[in-house]
Amino acid sequence: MGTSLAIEASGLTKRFGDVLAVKDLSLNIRRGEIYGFLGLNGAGKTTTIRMLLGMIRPSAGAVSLFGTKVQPGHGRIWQQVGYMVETPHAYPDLTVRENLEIFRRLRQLKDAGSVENMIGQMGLAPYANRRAGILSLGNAQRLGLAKALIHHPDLLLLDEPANGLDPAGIVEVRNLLLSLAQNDGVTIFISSHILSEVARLATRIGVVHHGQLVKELTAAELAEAEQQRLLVDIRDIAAAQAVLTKAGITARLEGKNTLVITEKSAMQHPEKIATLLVEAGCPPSRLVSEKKDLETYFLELVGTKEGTNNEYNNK
Amino acid sequence: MNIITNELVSALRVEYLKIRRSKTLWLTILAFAVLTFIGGLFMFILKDPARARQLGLIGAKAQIFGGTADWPNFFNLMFLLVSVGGLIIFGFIFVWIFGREYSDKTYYDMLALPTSRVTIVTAKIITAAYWSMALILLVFVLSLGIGLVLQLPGGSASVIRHGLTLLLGTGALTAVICIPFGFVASFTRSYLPAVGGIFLVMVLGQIISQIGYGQYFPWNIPMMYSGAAQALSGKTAPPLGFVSYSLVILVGVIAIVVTGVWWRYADQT
Repeated sequence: MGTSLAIEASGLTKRFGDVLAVKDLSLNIRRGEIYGFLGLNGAGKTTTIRMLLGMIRPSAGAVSLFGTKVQPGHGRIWQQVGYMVETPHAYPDLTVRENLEIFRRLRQLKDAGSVENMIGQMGLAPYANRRAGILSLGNAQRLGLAKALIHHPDLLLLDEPANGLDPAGIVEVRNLLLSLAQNDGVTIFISSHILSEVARLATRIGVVHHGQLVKELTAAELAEAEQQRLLVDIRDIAAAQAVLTKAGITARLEGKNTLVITEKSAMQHPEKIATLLVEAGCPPSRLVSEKKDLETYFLELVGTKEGTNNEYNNK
Repeated sequence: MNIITNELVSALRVEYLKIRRSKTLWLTILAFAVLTFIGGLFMFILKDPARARQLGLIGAKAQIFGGTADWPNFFNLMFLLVSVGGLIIFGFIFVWIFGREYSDKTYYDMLALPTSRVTIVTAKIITAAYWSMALILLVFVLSLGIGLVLQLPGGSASVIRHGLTLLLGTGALTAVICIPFGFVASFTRSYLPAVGGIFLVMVLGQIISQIGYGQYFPWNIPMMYSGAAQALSGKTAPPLGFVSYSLVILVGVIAIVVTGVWWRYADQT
């Protein structure tokens, strides 16, 4: 139990018949980290989370949580783990309080007050006696988080926790998770397909695509990836490129008539680029300073276009 | 051992909390209450067919068979109703207790807990069995009340004791043969195939009885034990022996083990 790793997954592979959902995926997540697990729909995020939680057995590889191998019969480990998989579901006939009471008992918590504490902490007091079946999606999500947190876990695994939440709900969940990590040292593993959301929260991000971990980067590296770039639309591309190269500026062609410049000096003084091109007799028809958004970076990283089917059907 | 007991007690309380709030509980109570009242209605008609005809309970030309209105006959009728209705209603209880976790998608929440999945399965089976037996007791109490109101003749302590014993025995055997339906609901993650399974064994039971091997088909045993099979077919049913009861127990044990193993080891996608 002396390991500094909260999650240690090595060579995780899961095959469902012909579909290879996760392939040789390894993760080492330190205690106290907020790890964003990013991928498009069908990339293998949920399958990975389920393997981490022992809900499905890996075809190959193994998972350890806090140094304890996840396998049938090692149930004590779950005392340290809270989780929410997919949209939270609750017993619809039971009230919010009764749903939490169920988890207090199944988690073997002696303190009967833990239910009321959680109701208060999650702002569920006005709905405590309301049937879970008629809760709004936001409150159902709060109830799901309350179930995951009732035992004050050391590790929280959340699968798309912002799904279906309105902007206020997203901010609320984000603040809650940040507080848990910063004040209580909870390790958080959060999966999402929205990079901007994960970027605001995670200390480290893993990008999964076609069931494989294609990139891991820290929050600082991700911030760097939010490049600024200068887009120059021009008629005579060849002449303009020659002028820029002569001036020691690298420009790459994007599309038919657009040159992309990412050098810092050009970003700081776009007017110098304009002057240079005008004086050389190839004036730009458009010059735009653009900050590359994270979504574009993410799509470039996984090398895919929007709307493509991302399920991995490799035999 | 203490930990296991605590886990089981917690899991049992959780199941109790879930059924206490469910409509299914009241539906099963209503179903058995209606069955008992139907039995009472038959006794009422048998006691005085002319009065029943006058009240419009039976048609003017209806001929009423089924013996006399007395306690032994009333209990025989209840054995019949409980052994046929029990298979459907107890079967549905097992299907609901397991299947609801899948239809409500709450099974995810049961998979990574300090309370083991096997304990949860055990608690579910105990709860379903307890629920079934409580319904049998309800039938017994209602039968007593109806019999007293109708002032049925032929009652004695031994007749009442015999009635209770046979009702409990039929109920227990029926509960055991319904355990596999809980597994089917888990395996298929749905109610429908399991409910289909209940009707399938009823049809199969009829066919197997017709060819004379009813005593080897576990889902027929409660009906044969209660005498309902004989009453329904009008034929003398073959005696039940060690093999028949062993088959019932075997079906129950296999179903418990398979359900536990499935919950513990199968992929829960």
